[in-house]
Formats: sequence, C-alpha cells, structure tokens
Amino acid sequence: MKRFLSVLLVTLLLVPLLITSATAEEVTITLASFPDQPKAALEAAIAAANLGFKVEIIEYPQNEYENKIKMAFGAGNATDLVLIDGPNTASYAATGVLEPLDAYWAKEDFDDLVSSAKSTATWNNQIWVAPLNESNTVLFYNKKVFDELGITAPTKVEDAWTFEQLLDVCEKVTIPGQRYAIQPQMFSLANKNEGQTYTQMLWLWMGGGEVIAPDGSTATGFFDGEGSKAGIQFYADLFTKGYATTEDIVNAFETDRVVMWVNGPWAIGNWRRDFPNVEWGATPMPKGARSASGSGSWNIGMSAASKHKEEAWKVIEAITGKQGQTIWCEETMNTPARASVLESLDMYKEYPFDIINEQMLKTSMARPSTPAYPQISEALMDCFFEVAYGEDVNAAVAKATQKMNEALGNVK
Amino acid sequence: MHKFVRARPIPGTGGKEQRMTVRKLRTSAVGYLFILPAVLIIGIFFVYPAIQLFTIGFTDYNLMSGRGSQVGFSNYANMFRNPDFVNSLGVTFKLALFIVPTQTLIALVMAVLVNQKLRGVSLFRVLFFFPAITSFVAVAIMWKQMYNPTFGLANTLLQWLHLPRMRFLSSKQQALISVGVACIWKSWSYFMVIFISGLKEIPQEIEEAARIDGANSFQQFLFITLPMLKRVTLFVVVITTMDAIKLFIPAFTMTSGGPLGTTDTTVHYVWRQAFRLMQVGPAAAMSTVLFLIIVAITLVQFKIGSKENQ
Repeated sequence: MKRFLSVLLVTLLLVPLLITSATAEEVTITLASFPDQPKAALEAAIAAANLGFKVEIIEYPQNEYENKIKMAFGAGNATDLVLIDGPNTASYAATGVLEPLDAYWAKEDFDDLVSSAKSTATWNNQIWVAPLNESNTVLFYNKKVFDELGITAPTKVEDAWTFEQLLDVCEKVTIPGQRYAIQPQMFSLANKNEGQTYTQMLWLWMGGGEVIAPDGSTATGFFDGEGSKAGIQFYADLFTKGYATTEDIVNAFETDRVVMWVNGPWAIGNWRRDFPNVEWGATPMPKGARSASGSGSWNIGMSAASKHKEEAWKVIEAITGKQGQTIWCEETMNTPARASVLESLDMYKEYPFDIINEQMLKTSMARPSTPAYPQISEALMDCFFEVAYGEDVNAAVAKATQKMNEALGNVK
Repeated sequence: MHKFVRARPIPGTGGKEQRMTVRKLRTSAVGYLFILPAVLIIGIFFVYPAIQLFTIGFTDYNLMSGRGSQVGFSNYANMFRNPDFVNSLGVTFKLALFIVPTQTLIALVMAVLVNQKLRGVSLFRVLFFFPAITSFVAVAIMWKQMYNPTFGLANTLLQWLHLPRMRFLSSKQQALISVGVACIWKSWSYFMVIFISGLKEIPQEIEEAARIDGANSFQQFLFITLPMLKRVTLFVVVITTMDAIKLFIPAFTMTSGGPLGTTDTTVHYVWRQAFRLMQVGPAAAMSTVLFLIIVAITLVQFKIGSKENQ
C-alpha cells in the first residue's frame, strides 16, 4: 500500500511537469489586427493552410491601432505579426522593428504581385511586408437617385466625367440643407485617419499635382505647385458650393444624405453585410488635368523580435499566398495584389471590378514612400480640412508645405 | 503580552540619552516603513517618468526603436515657432477660462441649494453625483451622441423649442464651448460635495447672529458664507484649473482636436506628436513646458489665496 501511494504521489507530481513542458513547446503566433479587417476571413485563410500550430488574432480599435502597435514595438512586446498600412512601411522599416522578408520569400512567388503591390512591399531595396490585397477607388453613387433624375454614369475610364461634368451632376442631385451631392473623402471630417489622406490625395493628383519630390527631398514645387493647388481648390469648391458638407453625418451615403462617395471596393462588402438594401452604382474617378485613382493597402509585417520567425512566415504565406488571398478577397471584396488571383477569379472581370481593374492598370497612383510619411499624411489631411472649412487655399497649402519640408528634413 | 527590553547603556555615555536615541530611531524607522509603499509608488510611477520626460526633451528619441541622440535645446526652441503648439496652448487656456469660473459657480450654488434642510434633498445629492463617478470616456461618448447633428438629443430639443439646429462639434465657433459644457457636466458635482463639506464647517452661531442683526438670506450668503468658504474655494479653483489645463479625453473622444484645431488641447496635441507622429523628443519638451506652466499658475493662485486669507 505504501509503495502504491509513493508511486501515485510521484506520478501526480510528474504529470503536471510533463504537461507544462509539452505546452511550452507549443507555438502560438500572434497577429495584431483591427475590426475593419474581417477576422473571420483571416481565420478562414489560416485554417485552409492547415498550419499545425495556433494563430491568435488580437484586435485593437481602428483609430487606436497604429498607436497600440507602435507602443508595443517600443515596449518590446509586439505581436509576431502586425498589419501595416502601405505608406507607413518605410517609417516602420527605418526604425529596425521589422524583419526583412527577402530570405523567406521565393523570387518567383514575389513576382506574382502586381507592380504597385511590389513597390508597397519594398523599401530601400528590401522586402518588408506582404500585401493582404491591393486597393483602388471609384466614385460610388446612389442608383435610386441617379435613376430618378435620369443621370447615366460612365463605366469606362476613357469616358470618366471631367471636373466640369461632375459639378453639373452635383448641382442636379443636391437638395440644399437636406441632401449633399458628394462625400469627397472616405469618412466625414470628424475623423482623422489615413483613409482620409488616401482619398483626399486623389483630388491633388487629379488636379495634376504631386505631394513631394520623387527623391523624397522636398515638398516645395510639388505640394505647392499649380497642379496641386488646382486639385485642392476643386475639393474646396465642393464644400463652398454646398455640394459637400463638413457636418458629421453618420452613414451619410447609406441614409441617402449623400449621393456620391469616393471609396474603395471594400465598401461593397460592408453594404452586403450591414446595409443590404443600399442600391449603389460605381463610376470611374473623375478627371481634372489628369486621371488618378488610389492604390496601396494593408500588409502583414513580421516583428524583428519574433521568437518564431519560421512559423510567422508560414502564417504570412497562409494569408497572402495564392490560396489565402483568394479566400480573403472573395470574403472581403478587396482587390487582389497577386496577378494570378486577379486572373483566376471571375468576379474581377465583372462590374464594378472591371472598372477597378481598368483603373489599376491605367490611372492608379501610389502615396509617397518615405519614413516621414506619417507627418506628410497629417499635414496633407490638415490642409484639406482647412480648405473644406473655407480657409484660403494658398495659405493652407503654404502651411502644409512648410510642415512637410520640416518632416522631410528630419529624415536621416 | 509583549515584553519590552530596555536598551543597555553603553559605558562612558549617558544611558538616558542613549535610550532616547534608540527609541527615536525605532520610531523613525517605523514611520519610514509606513511611507515606503507610497514613496515607492510615487518614485516609480511619477518621479522616474518625470525625470525621463525631462531628459527625453533634449533628444530625438524614437518610441519604436528606443533610440535617440542629443539635440540640445532645439526641441524647446522650435516649439514656440510651431503654430499648432501655440494654438493648442490658446485652446487650453480658453477652455480653462470657460470651465473654471462656470464650474465653480455652479458647484457653489448647487452646494448651497442641496445644503438646505428640505425633504428628499439627499436624493438629489446622490443623483447629482452620478456624473462624477462615471468614466470620462463614457461621458464624452454620451455627449458626442447628444451633439450628433442627425439624431442627437440636443438638436431634437432645439427643434421642439422651434429654435434653429446647431452644428455643435463640427462648427469652428461652437465646438470648444460644446466640449466645455460636457466637461462641466462631468465634474461640477464632485466640487459641489467639497463645497458642502465647507458649508458644514461654518459655525451656525455666526449665521444666527447675522440673522438676529437683520441680514437677509442673500446678505448672509454674501457676507458670511462666501468669506468663510475662501479656503475651500481656493482649493476648488486650483484643482479645477489643473484639471482643465490637463484635459485630454474630450478632445480625443469627441473631436480629435478638430474642427481645424479649435478643440486641440495641449495634452491632446502632445499625445498626437508622441504617439501618432513619433515625435517623442519634441512632445516631451512640450510636456515639460506644460508642467512648468501648471506649477506657475498654481503658485500664483496660492499666493493670491494666502494674501486674501490674511
């Protein structure tokens, strides 16, 4: 009996030890994300890859997402993988918190990316992130209102409305104090985030301008150039003429308070989920001195401090590889960053993705790639906010140019 | 039963003095042990970060990489040339000038009212105190919803009263006042309680004497209550001023500092510089300056208060 009790006691002591050591060897890869990137779609892509280890997706509120991951990097407790917005890649890479992906990513597979996605993924001749998808922007419109007023929207880039034609449409659809013609940026002006810059920058490009010099040295002669000012002035006029509003209207497009909206195809996914009754149509971005549409989206980067880099790379492959990206894009209605996925899915040949595909080939433009991008983005956004509220375009542009030059001057 | 052991006198020294010193040392040691947790907490969470903040202000520290090099006084020199920082200081002081007198007056008047011996008055005291114990974030979100131009309660009330709709948070002219009103709603009742405790301390005989001398209620309030509340009022004004200068949550939650920086308080601006734009060095220098401003204002307030008390 004594012997039996001793054996039992030793077993009881050993079992937890064995369990603990087995658990310690289990790998869990953590991925920082935010609610706008549907978790279910990420999980579906990961599940399809059958990785054999656990992947935990940690969500932070969207407006606080970037702060959270920056602080986590600073505190040394970042997740293994993080979602990074395309234009911010350089600012993260420059601080050394990201692991370069060149050693993990086979060249032939990397070459499957469309060219704009390749530029987003690279900085300083190294690959830093893997794109979740590409992006593009169109002018969405309320189909019911257009049908009622007999307005026909073009569906080819070559037929896109000119700025003057857009103003005519704005005049027709506006009901003063009740219905606004257009929301020319992604969110109402009560929001300050990259989505605003992403869409506001289009007006500057359409006016014929640029944000900074191609070598990233200055904004003088670019942001304050005549083309940029013309685009910004057009954006300002939309507000001063009463076609757009500075009011913070919740779900303005979905509740018929705004008729047109500059946004990306992910809006379609949101409508399907949350507003199935919205009757929408899409038309190419209008053209001023030239045509322009957005590009660059969210990517996955690997923390340089990750203890499980091989496994972390497998997760990146699972989500951004051909299979994963197909699942992700079908679920979220995002535009693929891989040429092979773009070709294999029929939905990208159909309306409205046929417009997006054509724009991606002909008119898409990339936001500047510089470690000073966060400051550039903020200065640009502030400038557009100021002119929307009726401030003088020249003064607002001069102020923003000075801020941009200071930020660019601090890049080492 | 505790056993006290008498300290043995050391030969050649006065035994009584020796015992006194040992007792003093023991008493001091116990005292130091009692304050040790507080000293540790203050040291780790306030003093050390404050010293770090001060030193980071002289660097171009990067939050993500944890590296930075010395830049001398350039962060301090640049900040006053930065129109956005100067604007944020202006916003902060405008907000403080609105909040401090308004909130103090409301708290005082309400304290006098709920200090009356009436039936059910304690229920009002409890109800009024609810905002003070509610999270500021929750309060800010609630007020943001109330100010919403489409479905907000504020505009619905204005419509009922046949008054024109207002833009509130999306108006350059109305945003700061709207934020200030939310701040006052959140905090006035806390200071009302402090005023009530001050009122309770006023000896009833003085009020009775004034009444016998023929003073009416208003005269009693003006010549008895107010002067007797001077110390409490000074405390309330100092704390309210410090709170108003440090406001962050309403700017962050309700407006993101907009429209066009009209609600961009200094703390919110500093936070954005540090955590959105990674300009930690300049942000640390700005925080140091704000700290010095708060210290200066508080000292001035105490100086004025002590003069009046004399």
